[in-house]
Order: sequence, then C-alpha cells, then structure tokens
Amino acid sequence: MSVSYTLKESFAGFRRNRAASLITVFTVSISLLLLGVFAIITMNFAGFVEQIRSRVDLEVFLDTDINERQQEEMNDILTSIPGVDEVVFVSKEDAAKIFERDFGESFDDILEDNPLPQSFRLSIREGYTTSDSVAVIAGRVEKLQLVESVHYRKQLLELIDRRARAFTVATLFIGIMLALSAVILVANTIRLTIYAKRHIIRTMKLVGATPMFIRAPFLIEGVFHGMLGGIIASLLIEIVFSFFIQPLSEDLLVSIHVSWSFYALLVLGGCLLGLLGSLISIGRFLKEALVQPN
Amino acid sequence: MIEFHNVRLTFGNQDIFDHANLAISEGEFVYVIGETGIGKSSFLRLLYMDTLPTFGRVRIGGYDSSSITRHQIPFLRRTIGIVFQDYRLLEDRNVFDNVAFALHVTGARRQVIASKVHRLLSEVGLSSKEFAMPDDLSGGEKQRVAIARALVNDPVILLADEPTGNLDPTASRDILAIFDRVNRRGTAIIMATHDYSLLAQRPGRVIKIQNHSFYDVV
Ligand SMILES: Nc1ncnc2c1ncn2[C@@H]1O[C@H](COP(=O)(O)OP(=O)(O)O)[C@@H](O)[C@H]1O
Ligand SMILES: [Mg+2]
Repeated sequence: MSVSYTLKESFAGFRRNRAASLITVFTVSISLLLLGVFAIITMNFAGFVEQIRSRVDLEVFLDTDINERQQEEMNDILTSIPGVDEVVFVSKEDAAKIFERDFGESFDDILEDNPLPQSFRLSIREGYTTSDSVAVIAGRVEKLQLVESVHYRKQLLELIDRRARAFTVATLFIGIMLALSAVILVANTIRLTIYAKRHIIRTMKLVGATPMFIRAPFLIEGVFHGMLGGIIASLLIEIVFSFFIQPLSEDLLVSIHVSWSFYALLVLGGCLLGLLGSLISIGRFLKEALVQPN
Repeated sequence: MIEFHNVRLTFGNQDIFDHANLAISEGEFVYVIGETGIGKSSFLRLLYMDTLPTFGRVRIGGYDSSSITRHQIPFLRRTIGIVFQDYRLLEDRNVFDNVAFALHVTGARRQVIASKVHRLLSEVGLSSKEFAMPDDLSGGEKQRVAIARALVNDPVILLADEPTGNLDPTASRDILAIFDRVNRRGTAIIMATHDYSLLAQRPGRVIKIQNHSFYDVV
C-alpha cells in the first residue's frame, strides 16, 4: 500500500466533498466545545475546592510551656510527619495578639497573667487534605509528648469530602455521557458521508481493493476533520474566555484560566473523535457480505 | 481454469443453479446467454466470489470457493478483470484515476501506473479523455474506461456482464473489437449477454443457462 497515494486520497476527499467535510468539522467543533466548557468548569470548581481544603490548618496546643531547645526539637518532629507542610510556633505573646485581634480586647485589661498556651500551627501538604489523611496526621501529633490537644475544622473537611465524592461521580458521569454522545454524533455524521460513497466503496472492493486500502484514506480524513474541529473549538473557547470571562474573573474572585496544554488536549481529542467516528462508520460498508443485492 | 462442481445457488427459496457443472479453459471466448432473471449475473458473481455457492464448489484460477478466505478475495479479483453492465466507475475521480485505481490497489509504482494507464487508454481509444470526469462521458466511453480498468492488471480472465446492454450498435461493435483483440493475446473472455447479434459478429463458445444448469449451444 503506497503511503503517498493514501495521503493524496485522504485530502482529495476534502476537495471532492466540501459540504460533507464542513459538516463533519462543524459537528466535531460543537461536540468539543461542549466537552471543553464542561471540563473547564469542572476543573476550576475542583481547584476552588482544593483551595478551601488547603486553608485548613492544624492547631497543636501544648500542655506545658517549653523552652527554645524543646521548641526546635518539636519543630523537627512535626516537620518530619508525612503530609505536614509548614510548621509555625505560636508563642503565648503571639496568641495574645491573635486574641486581641479577634476579640478586640486585651488580657492585660482583664487578667494579670496570660493564660493562653503555647501552640504550633501546621499547614497541610497538597494531596493530604482529605479528612482521612488529616485525621491520621492529627492522631500522630496528638500522641506526641507535651501535646495537649489538636484542633482543626474536622466537620468542614468531612463535608467537603462527601460533597466532593458526589461531585466527582456526577461530573464523571456527565463527562462520559458527553464524550459518548460526541462520538455517536460524529460517527453518525461521518456515516452519512460514507453512506453517500457506498457505491464507490463497493466498486473498490470489486476491483480488488483490500478493506485496509479502502479504509485508510477515510480514517486519515476523519483525523484531519477532527483536528480542524479541535482547533476551531479551541479558538472559540479562547475567544470567549479572553474577551468575556477573564475581565469578569476579578469580580468573581476566582481566577479562571485555560492552559495551552488544555487546547492541545482538545485538538488531540478532536483527532481521536474523527478517527473513532470514521472507524465506527466505515466498518459496515467494508464487510464482505458474500451475498449482496446489486 | 474455471470449474463448477455440482453447484447449487439459492436466494431465499429461489433456486438459481442446481447440480450445475461447467468447465472453461484458458483463452476461451465464451458467451453466456439466457433469459433475463435466469442467473447470468449470478454466474459471474460466483466467479468473482461476490457470492458463494449454497452447495458444491466453484474453482477459478488457483482459488476454490469452498476454501477461500475473506482475506484472499481481493487477490482473486486482481487476477480477473470485471466489466459491469452499469460501468461502475468511481464517479468522484477522472478517467485516468479510475483506471489507475486498479493498479494502486496492487501497490504498483507511480511510473509503472502512468505508463500502463496511458497504454490501456490508447488501447480503448480514450487517450484524449484522460482528464474527463465519468459524468461527462457517453455510455460507450464509460464502458471503454471500465474495460481499460479491467485489463490494466493483465488478467487471465475478463468477465463482462452485458457490456453492450446499454450501448448502440456502433459502440457495441467497438467493445467487441476490443474483446477480440484482448482474447487473441490469450485472455479468456466470459461475457453474459442477450444481444445475439454479437454472436454472429464474433463467433465463440455459447453457454446457455437453462433449468438451473449450463448447456453448450452448438
Ligand atoms: N442478492 C440477491 N438476493 C435475492 N435474489 C437475488 C439476488 N441476486 C439475484 N437474485 C435473483 O436471482 C435471479 C437471477 O438474477 P440474475 O443473476 O441477475 O439474472 P440475469 O443476470 O440472468 O438477469 C433473479 O430472479 C434475481 O431476482
Ligand atoms: Mg444480469
């Protein structure tokens, strides 16, 4: 099978049937636009949730006051726990300042002594912010000597976890349905154009062409159409985002941005869509039925 | 070269062939005649294995209907040239590319293709129509393109299903003259027809399909 012939045939298909080609490209664009916008929204929402999670800190209160050497030791131990990101020591004075900031009243006005305990504030590394992981970390910290108690927003994390799981399942489901309908839509569009060529395909078989020889140009044409569709969908998304969404994003307090690798993925998805669509569509017309009405 | 052994062919509950036997040798010029709907086209389709016998076996070249695989069928078809009553040209490409297609499927090189196509187009008298599209050709011209395509792989057998069925007498004579030339070079011709005037113009073996079987007419 000659490569140059196959390539020439593939692109001749575009020239020979412009209208059908445009419809296929258009169908791919629309399908990918839907999928793309859905993916962007999902990813940004997931990022937003991750941001909330990462703001959850552990507060580790100590039962006695410790000196500077103990403080350093403690710092090392805490840092060595997997999942712990930053460790900050909060002295009694710091605690008092925080109290004053939060409640607008100073201890000095009320009490002689500062009753607030020393504490450490731990931030959690990304990837360890599920309620289970944080609970494990909190458990390990609680067992340490000198630690009196560990506090964090357990309920909030658990709530996010539950919702996040439902969210993931739902988006996965919708995503799969969208992808599936994209494949079906594109395959059907391509099937129409191949159906129009069924006599030609049959003649090719009768003249001694192998199924692969007939199929190859259709597949390449499909990939090419898919790629064009992917590029168009990317351009549309880029236009919508850079002209309409991004100017708003400061007001919305969330930054929505679309990366180049996302566009690359979209174009790749287009190629795949075109390939799958043609592969599904052409099979039926290539089968050697051995008994066929003329 | 071609043998039918006890062939039975049925479509639904309709018998086309039953206990049909036949042998055709290399280089023969054969007319296959019979009423419309009797099974002439089905006979040819059995030869290029577009349909397989319900019972019995058809042998052609080195291939046998009882053992051929789907994978082998394209290769069988490259060793026989087929001309259809309705031409079956590839409507989406010009005359040159139609003839060239039969060579492309074999993986022939471009220079070989160009020289062979030009030789065949001149053989059928269509050198000047190389770039014409099928839609712009007369019936006789279309049929000559189809013949050029069928011959371009130097087949040992040329099958033709009522090749003059849609043509006027002059165009029919041209086609017959081409077949005669090709046959003199050693290619067997098997032509289904109900145009009996051809038989007088170019005598050959006449096989009649009747009662679900083959009969030599002498
Ligand atoms: N694929 C098919 N399915 C069912 N019946 C068929 C099929 N092909 C041909 N026939 C029937 O077989 C008979 C012979 O057809 P055909 O071989 O085309 O005859 P001819 O070429 O002699 O006119 C006809 O009655 C036709 O209707
Ligand atoms: Mg017929």
